[in-house]
Amino acid sequence: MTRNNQRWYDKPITKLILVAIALTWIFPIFGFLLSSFRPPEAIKRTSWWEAIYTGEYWRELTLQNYSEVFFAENLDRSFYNSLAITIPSTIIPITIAAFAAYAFAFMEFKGKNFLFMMIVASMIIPLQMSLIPLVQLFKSGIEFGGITLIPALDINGTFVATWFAHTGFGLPLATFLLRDFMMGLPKSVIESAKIDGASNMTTFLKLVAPLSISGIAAFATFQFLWVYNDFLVANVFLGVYKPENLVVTSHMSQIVVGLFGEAWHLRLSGAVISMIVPLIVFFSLQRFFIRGLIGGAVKG
Amino acid sequence: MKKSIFGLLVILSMIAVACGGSSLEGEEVFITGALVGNDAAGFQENFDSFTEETGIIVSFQGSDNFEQEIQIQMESGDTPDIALFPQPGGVVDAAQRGYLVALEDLGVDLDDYKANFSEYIVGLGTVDGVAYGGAHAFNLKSIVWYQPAEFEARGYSVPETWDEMIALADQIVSEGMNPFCFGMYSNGASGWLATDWMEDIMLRTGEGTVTYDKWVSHEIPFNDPVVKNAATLLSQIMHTDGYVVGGTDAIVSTYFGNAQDPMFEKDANGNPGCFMHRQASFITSFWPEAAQAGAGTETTVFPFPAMDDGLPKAALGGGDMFAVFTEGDEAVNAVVEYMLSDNFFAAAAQRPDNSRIYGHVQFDSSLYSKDITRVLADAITGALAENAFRFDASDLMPPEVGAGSFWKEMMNLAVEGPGYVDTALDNIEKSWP
Repeated sequence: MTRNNQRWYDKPITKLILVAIALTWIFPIFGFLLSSFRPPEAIKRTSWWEAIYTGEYWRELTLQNYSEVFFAENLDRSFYNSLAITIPSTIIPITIAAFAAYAFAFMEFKGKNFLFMMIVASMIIPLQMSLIPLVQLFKSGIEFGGITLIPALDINGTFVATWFAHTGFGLPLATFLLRDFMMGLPKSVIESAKIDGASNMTTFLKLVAPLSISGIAAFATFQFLWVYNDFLVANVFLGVYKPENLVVTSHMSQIVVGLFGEAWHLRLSGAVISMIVPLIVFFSLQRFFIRGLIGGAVKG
Repeated sequence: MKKSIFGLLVILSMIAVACGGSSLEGEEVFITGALVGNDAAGFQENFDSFTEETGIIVSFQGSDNFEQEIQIQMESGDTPDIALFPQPGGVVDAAQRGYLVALEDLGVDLDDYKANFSEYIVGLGTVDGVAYGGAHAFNLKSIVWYQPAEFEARGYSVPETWDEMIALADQIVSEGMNPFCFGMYSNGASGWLATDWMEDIMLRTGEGTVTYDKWVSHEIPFNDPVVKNAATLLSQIMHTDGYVVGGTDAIVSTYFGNAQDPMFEKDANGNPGCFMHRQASFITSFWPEAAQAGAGTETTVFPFPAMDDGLPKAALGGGDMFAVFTEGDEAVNAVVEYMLSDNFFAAAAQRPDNSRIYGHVQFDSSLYSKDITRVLADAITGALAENAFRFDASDLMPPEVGAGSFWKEMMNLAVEGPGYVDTALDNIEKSWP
């Protein structure tokens, strides 16, 4: 690459700005990471930069906040709950969305554009508005003119309810993103498969799905993080009056809040501990983001 | 407990019944409420001995979003077995919507319950003649905080009647000090402190609880002579020169939580900023840390003084009530029975960190671990025994008044002075829907 066709995002000034933005973004996280190792009284007394400047930070270093959160009663159960909600709530919508996205991207059928518009439009509905109707639907089902359209499942308070809810809330965006991703696949590959006589199912399973793996992984990461960090949906659908139904987010808020929010120093270590899982997920899926898969596809 | 996808409990209870053993062993009962932190842990501990005896596992999970979450849970059909509402209004609302089980269907002896807590308390959780709410903890508003050491050093005695309190206040003023702390700023709810004063005076004048109940249900108008008398007496406290530290300006601009601070600050002559502060029992958590340690000893309370002759010792307050969602479950019934028994309240009162007040009249108040709690509890049970305990009137009035014009006009009254009493009461009367 010569200097002349250097892109705008390769210019040093752009890099400088990007680094500045990244640092601004990281600064508070860096701050609470440092503060989480300080004793509660010290956090309330001085700021962490002051403490580092005067050197008292290193003298007072403690893991007390961590042990208090980490050995909280039933925290392991809450981690288990979070994963029991998050993993199915990631896999189910992605599976459905991948099939739907294939149809929207490569198949011709009547009303395709209208249907797709409806899916995009449903992203506009705020999640909060649909919570109560969904709760009622899960409880009593839908009856129309004496015919039961959806039976009264009465699944509120079970994990299944949260899977359904998260699937519903995640599907529109998943379909939209995956369709866009699939539209970007080289048309010639799919056409050649058609010419070779592959059915839609074969094309999807053998060709499109493997080629879309980076798109699927990207969305899976989003969905996983969103569901894992979710507090509202879990609290609504999973009957939080049972201690064994707490997810990590609600458990952290329980530990941290105290009666008058006096235990807020635990918020720091609590946040760090609950960040562990998303970090593992992010870094293990990160390699899928490298979109090298398509590069040689057509040659084959 | 209501529902388990694996039907585990059904199988368990079938096995238990088949074996003919204690069928409640291992049954779980779920309670939720607005208590969190230490209060929640304490509430859970109250069931330790019960669980040991019966084998029923009681689990309490509190949430600071309780009032929203219970609404969702009622809609979803996935309710806890028992919910502890911070207001009887929550119980009434849930009962009217048909979610609750009547106490009678849970095997509660209503006559006992009424005898232990008074007809009035039972009535607060009653809808269409059916009792749903079980009484739990109470708080007391009819109290005046003071420092006994300061009183003793100056030869003041605790006033037992309104006239004695006024005489004492005059004496303090004549000695160049201020008798009262009074601050009623509370953001959007400013004015409630004055409505509390009005309620306390109403309970002790005219026909006492009789006029109070009529006043709450609007059977007498808001500008009735009895109410006017109460407002005039309140205005006397607010507007007499030197009575309130900082004067009228301080009344309307001081945050209620900081209102008592002058009592803990001594001037150059060693005199506190004020000697008396009428405020509910929860105020201790707003005090400076050093003062909190002396709650009940250095700084303690005397009951709001009596006013008209021949009326029982009244008490104004609020309280929690629990209600039950699960019907026909032996374990739940047993928990409810325990929660209304004196054993439960005795266990709760004895916990060293307990600062909640229980209204059951049958248990020995000397069990209370903290002196201050015992003093407050005695005032409440005393009033309950005479059926003279009443809930905050402004909470029971329609919101347009109780959380609207009543607050607002009390603020105006504080600013405008004694001449405004009639206008204030007329305005509130007009706003009654």
